[in-house]
Amino acid sequence: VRPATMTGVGLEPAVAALVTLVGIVLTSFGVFGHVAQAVAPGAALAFIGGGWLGISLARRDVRLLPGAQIVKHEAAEK
Amino acid sequence: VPTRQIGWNVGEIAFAVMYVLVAVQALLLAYGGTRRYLMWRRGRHYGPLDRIGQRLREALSVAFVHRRLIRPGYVYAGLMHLFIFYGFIFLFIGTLIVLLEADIVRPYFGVSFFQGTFYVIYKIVINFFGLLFLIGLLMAAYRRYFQKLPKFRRNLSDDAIVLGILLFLGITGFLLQALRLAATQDAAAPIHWVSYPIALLLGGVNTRVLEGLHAVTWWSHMLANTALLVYIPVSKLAHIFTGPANIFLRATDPRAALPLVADIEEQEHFGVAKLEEFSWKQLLNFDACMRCGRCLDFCPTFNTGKPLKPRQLIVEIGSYMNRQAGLLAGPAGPLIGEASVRGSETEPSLAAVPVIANLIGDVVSEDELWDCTTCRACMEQCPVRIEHVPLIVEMRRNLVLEQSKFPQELVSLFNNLERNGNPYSFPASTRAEWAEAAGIQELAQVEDPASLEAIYWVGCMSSFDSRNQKVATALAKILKAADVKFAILGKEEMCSGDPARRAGNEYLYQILAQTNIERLNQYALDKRVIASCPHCFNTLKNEYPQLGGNFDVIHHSQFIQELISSGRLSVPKGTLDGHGMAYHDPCYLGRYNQVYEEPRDVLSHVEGGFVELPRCRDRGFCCGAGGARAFMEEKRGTRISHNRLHEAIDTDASGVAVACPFCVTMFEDGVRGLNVEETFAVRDIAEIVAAGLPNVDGQ
Repeated sequence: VRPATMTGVGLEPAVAALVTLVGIVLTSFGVFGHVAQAVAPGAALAFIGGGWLGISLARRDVRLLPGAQIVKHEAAEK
Repeated sequence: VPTRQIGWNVGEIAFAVMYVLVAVQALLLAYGGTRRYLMWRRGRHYGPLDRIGQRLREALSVAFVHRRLIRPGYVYAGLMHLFIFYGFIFLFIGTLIVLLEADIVRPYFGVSFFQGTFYVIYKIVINFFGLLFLIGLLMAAYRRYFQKLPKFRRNLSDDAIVLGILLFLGITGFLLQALRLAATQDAAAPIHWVSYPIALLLGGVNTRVLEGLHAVTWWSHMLANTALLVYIPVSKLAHIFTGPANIFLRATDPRAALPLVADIEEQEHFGVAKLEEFSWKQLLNFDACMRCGRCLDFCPTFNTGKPLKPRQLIVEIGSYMNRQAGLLAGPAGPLIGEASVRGSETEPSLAAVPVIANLIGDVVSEDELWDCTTCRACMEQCPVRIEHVPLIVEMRRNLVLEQSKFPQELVSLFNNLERNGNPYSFPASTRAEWAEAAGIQELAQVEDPASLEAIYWVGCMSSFDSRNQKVATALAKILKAADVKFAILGKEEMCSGDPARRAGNEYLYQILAQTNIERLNQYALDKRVIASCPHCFNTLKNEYPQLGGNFDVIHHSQFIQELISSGRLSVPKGTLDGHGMAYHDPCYLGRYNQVYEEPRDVLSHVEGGFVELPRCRDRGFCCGAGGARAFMEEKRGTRISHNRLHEAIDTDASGVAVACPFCVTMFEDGVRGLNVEETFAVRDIAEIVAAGLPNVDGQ
């Protein structure tokens, strides 16, 4: 699925979250299962997925931090 | 073989949490960075960018060599930042090396490089940079909180939070090392040369206790590291990225010109009254500030107690921008941002600014905007090249051209410029009266203009002000003594437009400039134009090309220096006596055009030479006249010219030598105000040189 298509149907954050989740699961499997080879790709996926999720949420103006909300300038400035 | 167990005393749960936090860090970093980026993109178009290689070199040299950070007067601050910067970089690389060993090299290749000689060197180097990091941070804390510098009187919580997190990371890093060394009785302990003494102190503590302390320290170190990364995009730590980006994007050509309002007749809006009316590069300016306060060090308004403080202006608009459009909106923002700036009678708290506010009026006061002398001291000193003056002029443009709100004194300035072509109430027809008396020809009267070597651009001050007419007469005497064939535009000359442009009246500036360009085009295409006013010099040289006027403009200090060095003019010794005069760098000659050496070279030819002021060259202090301030009352704070004169008087010089008619006027008023007119002289360098020349044509 191309990113533009995902953006269009609003799937991008969900896919990014899924990538993050896969990364976390893979890393946890590596740590708890003592499969060291799983840690690096898991961490990489968690890093990339997390970053992607952050970007897609910011672009959709999703409030993530307390009070972080883009205000329309026309309304904000008298 | 010297090495250590990676992850000693760290359980599986802790490791799993650490890797989950990688995702959290990436998410919040990317989120914050994107919010900032989207905020800037609301600004107007900026570009295209030229000289990419030069821009890249400068940005990298500032980031990695600290070229603009370590300079005269800023050695302590520059080294402090260098220590923190390289300490942080090497500690970060050190962490990556551990990850490389633990998660890639060992699992995939079954080998280990993290031992033996490599490990010994690694530990020695990492200890060194860790110590450097801590020293830099302690220097920063001392400078900001214990040196009691006026510029650090008002700090934000953000400043303390950043320092606190970094210090905590540095200290817990060494503590972790020391606790492990003490608990494991590591034989290679001495190579950890910074934490080893701490480990020795912990030698008698029970191993269980050491392990417990190590676990607590490990968790707090990791959480602090996460806090740091998450904090970067919402704090001044963003300057790690925005600083070099701002340097890369800075205006380069020509550096002294204000941006032109193209097709001004077609425009419906002027200047900036809303955030999105700044260019996106200008919005980036606000996020590049690290609040070091260098912009205040030579600022004439900050140093004379006026409302305008360049750093405060950037922080004010930056906080407002972040609150309106980005990360510091709502309850979290003010806690770490503007609310922590305590208000006072003259400086209200930024937290008092309502969420819905006018940029000009509520966020930035009109007094702040009109106080600026456009001297560029802030821009010259800013390590990340924040461009304060164009921001201020853009807001002035809006006040003047859209809101018709400007100081009363500017009404007569604008009226006079429109009616008379000069800032005063003198009719244009009287502009050349001084020249008639001095036997100087106007171009229109010259039979063969082609025979002329130069055109002397007199400027309004020297044409109409009796004190500065002496400067013009002195320069004419010098030109005659050197057998330079010249004439003046005389009645055809109008104000260059500098005061109108700096006061925000771009429309009036363009009318004046176009008229002058047309007239100069008749005569000056193959001639040098000598300007004795640095404001005219800067406008003709750097700003007229924006409107198609390209002339060979030279300041009179440069021309006199050329005449002396080429042997066309000899300055007899005995021109001056006494201790010599203190040379004051006019802002529009020095900082705007980098003409520092020529006036000094000229003065070095007269008896007594000259005295260098403590604040000189790019660190010079304004006389208070620029930015059309010469035409406004100085109602707030103390007098800028007095501040500068006190400095000059303290040098034991016999007077102050200048190369600008506005400086002459400001200092003449100043010496009268300080009652030192009998003992302390104010002279233009043309007068100083001319005083020693024999009279020509009865002068």
